[in-house]
Amino acid sequence: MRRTLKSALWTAVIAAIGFSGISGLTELVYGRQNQIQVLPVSGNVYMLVGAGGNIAVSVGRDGVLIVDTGTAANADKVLETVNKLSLAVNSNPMPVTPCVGLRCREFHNPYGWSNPAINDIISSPAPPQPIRYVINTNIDPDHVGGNKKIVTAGVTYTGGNIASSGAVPQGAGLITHENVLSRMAETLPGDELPTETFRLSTFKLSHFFNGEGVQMIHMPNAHTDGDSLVYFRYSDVIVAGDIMSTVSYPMIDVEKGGSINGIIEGLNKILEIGIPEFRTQGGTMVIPGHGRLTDLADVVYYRDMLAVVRDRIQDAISRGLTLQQIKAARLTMDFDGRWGSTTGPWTTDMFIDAVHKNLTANK
Amino acid sequence: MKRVFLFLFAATVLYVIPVQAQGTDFAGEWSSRCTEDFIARCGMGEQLGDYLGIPLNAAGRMRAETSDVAEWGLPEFQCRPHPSPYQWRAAGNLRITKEINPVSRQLTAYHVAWLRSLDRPIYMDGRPHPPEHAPHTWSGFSTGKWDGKTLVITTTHMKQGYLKDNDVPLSDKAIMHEYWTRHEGLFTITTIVTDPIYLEEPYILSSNYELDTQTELDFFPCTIIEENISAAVPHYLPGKNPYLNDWLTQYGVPEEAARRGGADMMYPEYRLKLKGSK
Ligand SMILES: [Zn+2]
Repeated sequence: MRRTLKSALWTAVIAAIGFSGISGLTELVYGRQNQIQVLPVSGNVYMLVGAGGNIAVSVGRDGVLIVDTGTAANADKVLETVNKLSLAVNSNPMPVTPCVGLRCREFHNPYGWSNPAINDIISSPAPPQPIRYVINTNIDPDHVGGNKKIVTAGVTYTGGNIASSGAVPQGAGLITHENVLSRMAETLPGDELPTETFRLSTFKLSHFFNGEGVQMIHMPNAHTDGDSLVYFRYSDVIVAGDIMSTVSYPMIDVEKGGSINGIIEGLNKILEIGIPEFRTQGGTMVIPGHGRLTDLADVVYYRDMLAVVRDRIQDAISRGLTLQQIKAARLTMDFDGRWGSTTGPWTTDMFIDAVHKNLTANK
Repeated sequence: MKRVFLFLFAATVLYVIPVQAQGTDFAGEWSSRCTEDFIARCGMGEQLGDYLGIPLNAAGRMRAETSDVAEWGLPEFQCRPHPSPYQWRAAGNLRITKEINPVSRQLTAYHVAWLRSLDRPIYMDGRPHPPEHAPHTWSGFSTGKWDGKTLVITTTHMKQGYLKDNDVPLSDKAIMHEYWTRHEGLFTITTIVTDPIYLEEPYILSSNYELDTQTELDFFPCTIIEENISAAVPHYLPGKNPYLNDWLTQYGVPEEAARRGGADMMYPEYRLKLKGSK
């Protein structure tokens, strides 16, 4: 009897949620059967997991900005998830994400008691806001694979002679560091290349997006020579790309200019920008290229681990050990259970090779 | 009329049934009496190199021996809270409060706070643990359920840290089970920590606290004095930590008996291995 009543109650609760705009978000966040899972991070920013590299999405009244697009194979699923997320957030009569940033007051409705927001409740919801920008933190296929589909699905608002010149592709703007463009240009057709690049140490979106500044910071020799951190300045979220991972040693692509010291510098840059909320926890949140959502304490531990590994291998090199002897000495044995791998695309062996190459090349 | 009466009767029964079976009330201020590990907790502190009774695996031993406690002084780690498993044996007292649903008056969560902790909620409302991609915290994510009068707690999503403050490591893959029992004013907590990265067997420990109506939990005793980024990370190269044997010579303990840690040394049979060592 009690169980029946309880389940009836739950049915009612779920039905009630189903009628409100929250249903979409609840399903996206807690629907464990979804391949692409959504985690609300802070302010405007959501993390999408399960499409390859992690994806960060800013959703708000200005539209959608996506950092990294996962693998090509997952692009449709990512697009579907982003549209659902945009619908759930923007078309919700009671926004789950509060307005973030100094411009919030502008958006307070000017209609007073005759608020047309009642339309949100009595009519069908507005369509999702469009994808307007895509940013790539690096050039790896699990970070840029979805570009073609996701960029094409978006829009760039232009006018006059720019729109008609033919130089601006339809679809969202695609922003990367210049070194990513150079490498992409070797293999991709012109209409799939970034529409906007930067070559200095930092690049700022020229206007607020969803009520906040968005800044890219180039880390010159980290995972590759084209890595960017993406910093959402009011939501206080840093997208780290492959400079940070919670599942493996960092992939150091030496051929493309990557280095262990550059990774450590990138992690230190995150620590320099971020501020923990209290007692080294929370506050600035960091979305790693792979693995779970992190805060600054996790970044410190990752940096410390890499500094220790670097120091040990450097010491072994200065003692005259060969690469084979270094591997035989198992200098990373205490970290391998957590970060190492003997199979897959990035093994402990490959990591040590890369660090060794970096440290002997510096001489 | 009869029907109305039946309805009222049914309504009363329904109203009565949901009253929660409460196991034990753990709320209150509890004082640490240091009845276990006195030297480590209320004496001079944990000794460097003392891994007695800890089932460290080879990776855990290497991690412990190459760590430098100077890491505690990194600018980024000032005021770092203890991880939950270590809290029970850390210095200071303890406060447990109850979170109650004001309508149903059911216990929805316990909240635990130690001297050097953030809030640690233990959810009693049946919610699931978060997914793998959720962030980890110093306290971890805890859920509890009653086994008679014993509260059984499962904690996941803990941050990397230490099992003891002499750098015995705790990985962020560790899981803790706790069994809380209370006998009048005595509170006994049995913790079982499983860590696939650094332990070869579960680490089991019981700790005691005494109800203390004359105490208050103090402010987290820490002030950030340096705001910056570390220039270097303190650690010892493998085999180069000079301090690991100090406590052995101090107590005249044979190295084989103590320094290395490991599952075998938790059991009485280990004494046989020591025969003949000096
Ligand atoms: Zn990646």
